[in-house]
Amino acid sequence: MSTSQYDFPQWSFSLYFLQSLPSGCVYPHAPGSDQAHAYLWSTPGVTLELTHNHASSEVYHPGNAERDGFGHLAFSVPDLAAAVAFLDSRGVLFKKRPEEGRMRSIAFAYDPDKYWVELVEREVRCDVQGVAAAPQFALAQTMVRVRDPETSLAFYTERLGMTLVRKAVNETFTTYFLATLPGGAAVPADITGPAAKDYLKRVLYPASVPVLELTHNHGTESQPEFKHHSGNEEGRRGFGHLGFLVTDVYKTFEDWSARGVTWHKTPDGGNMKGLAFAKDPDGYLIELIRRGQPGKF
Amino acid sequence: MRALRPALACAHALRALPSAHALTHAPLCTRQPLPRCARAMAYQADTSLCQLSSLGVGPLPDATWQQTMLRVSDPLKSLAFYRDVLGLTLVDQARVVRRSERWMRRNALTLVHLSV
Repeated sequence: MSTSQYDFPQWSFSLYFLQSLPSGCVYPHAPGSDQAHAYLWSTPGVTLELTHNHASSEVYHPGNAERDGFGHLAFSVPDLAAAVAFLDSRGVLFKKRPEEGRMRSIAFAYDPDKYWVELVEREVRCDVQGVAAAPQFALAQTMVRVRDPETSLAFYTERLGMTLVRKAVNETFTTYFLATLPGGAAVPADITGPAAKDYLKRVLYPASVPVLELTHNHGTESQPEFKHHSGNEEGRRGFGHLGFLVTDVYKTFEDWSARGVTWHKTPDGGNMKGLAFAKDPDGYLIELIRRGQPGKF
Repeated sequence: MRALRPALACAHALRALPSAHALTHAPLCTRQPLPRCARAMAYQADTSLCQLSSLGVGPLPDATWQQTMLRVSDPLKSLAFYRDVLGLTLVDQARVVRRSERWMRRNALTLVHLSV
């Protein structure tokens, strides 16, 4: 008999990794091949990982309801009106069209699971020379809400080495934008000024470098009992985690444990040895994967 | 010498990384003329690595953001949206099948009985 009869579809899943590659590039590997795995586990770029649990009829939660942490993905486009017209022609539905509401410079489309997909405008040409042009739609943001920006910023900058590139203060909320950047990147000195806004629009987005957007709704920091849904609770499952490549998962585990970080899965816990899931200050899962890991699947 | 510069730029970025990022698994570019980073891909460098190395000459942090995971109910619809409409590249995929050893043992015994 075939071994497939032993499969447990309710425990099985498929993963799809997608990335914004510069316009004009042809990806040379077959998804699922050893070469593709090697590329995936060494690239310093950001991928969108889609997880499909087989034989599951669960309707996933797109976030943005009461106390949901996950907000949206965003894609940058060189021309918002043209991008909206294109998506219209493909039958994509919108939560907010550019002309609706106060913010004319952005739109929100729905993905097939009703996740919110924001569209933001970017300059066509990157201010930095030598950068290859972004594709028409370039993965630009992942947004999650945080209770206390001070502890969250410390976690993402000190533990994960991300760079804070912009802080945008609004009446009732403040947004913080972080990216994985090399040392010496020309990040504006004043992260609240127009130069910081331009750094996203004229440098990072045109270079297809996505940012992590942390949204702080003012007041939550003084409510210790306030808790966002992480996206992994029963009935609220949808957004799963943020993943980072590190040189040594075990060393990172020791370093972070000594600094009080708590864990959803330690490197030696469960089935998948060497893979860890930490909890960020809001309880969002942070997956740690060894860089260059061969044959992870 | 001019043609070598992209490769050198990415070799510089590679040295700056905390561990070796493979140079041998990179997207290739076809359109001409291409800016430095796109041309560098002909030298088998990682596109994202080259883009980042243009933004700053120092090393990347040890931890590099690599993924945002969302659960989806119908991968065909999601691929039609993210790959075919928004134009993302499917760089890798995997099918992970879980099996129960206990279930296999129990049912193997049943099969033996049936075959007797």
